[in-house]
Amino acid sequence: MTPVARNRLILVGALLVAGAGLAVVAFGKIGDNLVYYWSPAEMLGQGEKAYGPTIRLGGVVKPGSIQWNAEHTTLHFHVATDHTPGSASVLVRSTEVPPQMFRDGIGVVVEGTFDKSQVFASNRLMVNHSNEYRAPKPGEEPRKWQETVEGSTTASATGAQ
Amino acid sequence: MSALMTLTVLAQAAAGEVGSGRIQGGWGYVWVSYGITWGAFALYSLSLWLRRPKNSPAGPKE
Amino acid sequence: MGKFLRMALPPIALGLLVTGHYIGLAVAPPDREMGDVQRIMYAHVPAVWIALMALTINFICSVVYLFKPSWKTDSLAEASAEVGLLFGTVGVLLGAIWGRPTWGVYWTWDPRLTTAAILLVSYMGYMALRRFVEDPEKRAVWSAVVGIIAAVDLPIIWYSVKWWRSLHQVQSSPKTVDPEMVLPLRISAFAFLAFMILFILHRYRIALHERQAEVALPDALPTDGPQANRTPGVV
Repeated sequence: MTPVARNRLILVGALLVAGAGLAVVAFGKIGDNLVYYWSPAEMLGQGEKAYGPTIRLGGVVKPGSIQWNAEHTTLHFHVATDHTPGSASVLVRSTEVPPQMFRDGIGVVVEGTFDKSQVFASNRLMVNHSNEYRAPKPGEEPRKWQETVEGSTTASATGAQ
Repeated sequence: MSALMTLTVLAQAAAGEVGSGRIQGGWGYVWVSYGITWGAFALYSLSLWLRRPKNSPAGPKE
Repeated sequence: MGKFLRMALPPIALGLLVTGHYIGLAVAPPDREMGDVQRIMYAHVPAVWIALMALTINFICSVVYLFKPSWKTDSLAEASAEVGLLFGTVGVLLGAIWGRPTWGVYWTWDPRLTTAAILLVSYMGYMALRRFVEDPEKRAVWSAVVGIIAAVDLPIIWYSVKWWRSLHQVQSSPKTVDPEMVLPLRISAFAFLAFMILFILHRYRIALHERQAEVALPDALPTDGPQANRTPGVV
């Protein structure tokens, strides 16, 4: 076989392997086995099987459910499956200060454990951002606001001393 | 009214309230990011210059 | 063409980069929620786009080399892989930095980040393979095969956020990004594109020069044509 013919045979082989690999990933059921996070509904649906192992739970912060205790840095909130009012939700307890993006209704992924007390103990809280990027609305001035906040924090800190 | 609300938010933020949903500051992250980008471009340009073909002054014909 | 590009491209690339990043850092508004941190977008997003583009060029060169061997194609494959790796590394690093204030973590093994990490490791392997195989022809054939297989990850990265649940958001579009932010993003993307062409062009010259020196060695395979740099099967 000439080198050129051999190379072309190798080319066909490589393209077939690559195409098959891509097809398996795209149309196979890989996503079902490698789920990055469970929704509250899915986790609750597992029943007792969800108790114990470290899992990731993802959803949206249920509006009005955030309770923050600054003294003990404990945070409680409900993660709901989606924005519909009646969707399944789970109470999450976290002992870390959440990212600044954290707010009512935002997407979150928490890593931790669930047990029969029905409280999800999070040891890692992540906030996910949408694909929307918007300028501040008229009247909103994030930067000025930030400066004022920094100023007032400094003021209160000095005041406390 | 909105000024009053802003004040309330401000007070909460100053008190370490969470849940504002807004990132304040963070220019440090921005400068580090752009520093990495520009630095990578500069260093890679330098490495290309250092590796340039030397023994034929005109360079290979294309 | 090559000479003109080499002369004209540096000022064009630099001019676009300064313009794009100046608008991005100083003129464009901060994001309503992310504030100024969102400005990382004007470097992170173009870096990843251009990395995917450079590695697509590598894939095309790999296919073309196996179809019709040529040292030029092999050199272009080497150049595009290295430049793609450079942009990919910058993109992933910037993504991690952006992740810290936004998500709260530098890294998490979500599908997008995992497939991006696989990309970097694959093309590091590709470059290592090129370095360790001494016979130029074997190197060209083997690396072309690796280039074709590794390229499978490119569409997977792109679609990872659509196919699977991830922490990384799905692609933005001009509909989800305000025009004041789209403009610096576009200019920066063209700046990165110009840098990619410039880098690949120079890296290609280096690679081609190395190839020609390699095949001109006396212990290289016997030549049958008038050109000294001919080896069987390589035109």
